[in-house]
Amino acid sequence: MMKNDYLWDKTGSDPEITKLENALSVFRQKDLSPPEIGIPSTIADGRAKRPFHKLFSFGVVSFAGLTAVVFGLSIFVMIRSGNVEMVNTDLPPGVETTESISAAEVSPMPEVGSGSTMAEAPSADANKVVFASRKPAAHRKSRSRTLKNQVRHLAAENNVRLKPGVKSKVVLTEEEKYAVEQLMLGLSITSSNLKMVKDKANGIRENEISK
Amino acid sequence: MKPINKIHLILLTIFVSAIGASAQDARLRFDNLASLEKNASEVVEVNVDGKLLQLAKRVLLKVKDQDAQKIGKAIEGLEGVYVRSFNFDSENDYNIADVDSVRSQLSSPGWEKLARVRSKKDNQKIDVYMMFRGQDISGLAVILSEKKQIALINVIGPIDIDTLVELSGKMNIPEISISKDDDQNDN
Repeated sequence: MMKNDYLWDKTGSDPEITKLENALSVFRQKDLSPPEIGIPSTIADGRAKRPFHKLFSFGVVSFAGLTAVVFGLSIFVMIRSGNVEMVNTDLPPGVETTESISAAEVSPMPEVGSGSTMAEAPSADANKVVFASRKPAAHRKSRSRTLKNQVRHLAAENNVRLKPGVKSKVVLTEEEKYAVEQLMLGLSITSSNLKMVKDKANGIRENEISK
Repeated sequence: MKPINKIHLILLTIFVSAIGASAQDARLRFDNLASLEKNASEVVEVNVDGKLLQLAKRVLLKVKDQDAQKIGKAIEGLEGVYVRSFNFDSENDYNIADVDSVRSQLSSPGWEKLARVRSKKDNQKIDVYMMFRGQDISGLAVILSEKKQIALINVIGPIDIDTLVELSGKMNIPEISISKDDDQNDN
């Protein structure tokens, strides 16, 4: 009677099975370690010879280019739609110009400071430029340095200090002040006289109508 | 220089002088008012023209204020504003002939009477004259004399009077009351 235990856990003895084992032992695998997976030599050689920067060149450059384009477009859109706040922190004493402009107004260059007698514009380095938008400050900082320079340049060139929600206030030079005061004085006297004549004429007319 | 060139030069000089003279037609002479100045307790003299006027216009147009810009537009073509205002402490402390000498200048051709006010009660005389160049106003003159006050106004160049009257007392136009208390009570 054949013992089945030998087949399962080699306990006991079974001469038939042993005989069979011995007969088939020539086909027994000798090395039980896992086989090596070989890489074709052409592929292995190519990887070794290819420079590291070329491995990622196409993908990385494409991605970077695309990102730059998207970033640029988003800044352009923000400028077109949002407000830009420019603050000139180092204007000469007695010259302070405050007004609120949108980015659309920046490009045509307001004429503030274009007069020959206006005080000279301060250096561009003296300007602090802040972009105001609805997005958090962290986003604002990283927007664009080139635009910042452009706005700074405009601020310096136009001698303006820009803040949102502040009504326009132009501080004039002595010459301009004098000119405006004189003109206003002359116009004031003229207009009050003309108004008086007009009122009198209206009074006479009303009297005639009431009669 | 050839004689023909001399003729050209003379003609050119005459032409330029004529242009200059026509531009100054609306200008009144305020040069014989020394006696008024002497007796007045307060004198206001305004002469705004040339570069000073251009400067003021530029400021008015660049200020982002609606009233200022309205005034700036109303006086866009303005060439000059000349005002003399005299206040006196006592009644009739001046010679009316000095005022009439200026008033008489308005009888020269070109001036058209716009308004004339005569009030015996206040001894008030107001004359408003205008000069036209085509359809445009080229000059405005206002002569006012009262018991204690005289105002002589001469505006050269086109001006939007309605806007000026509308904006009277607004913006930074200094409030200068040239009408007396009596007048205000009357009104």
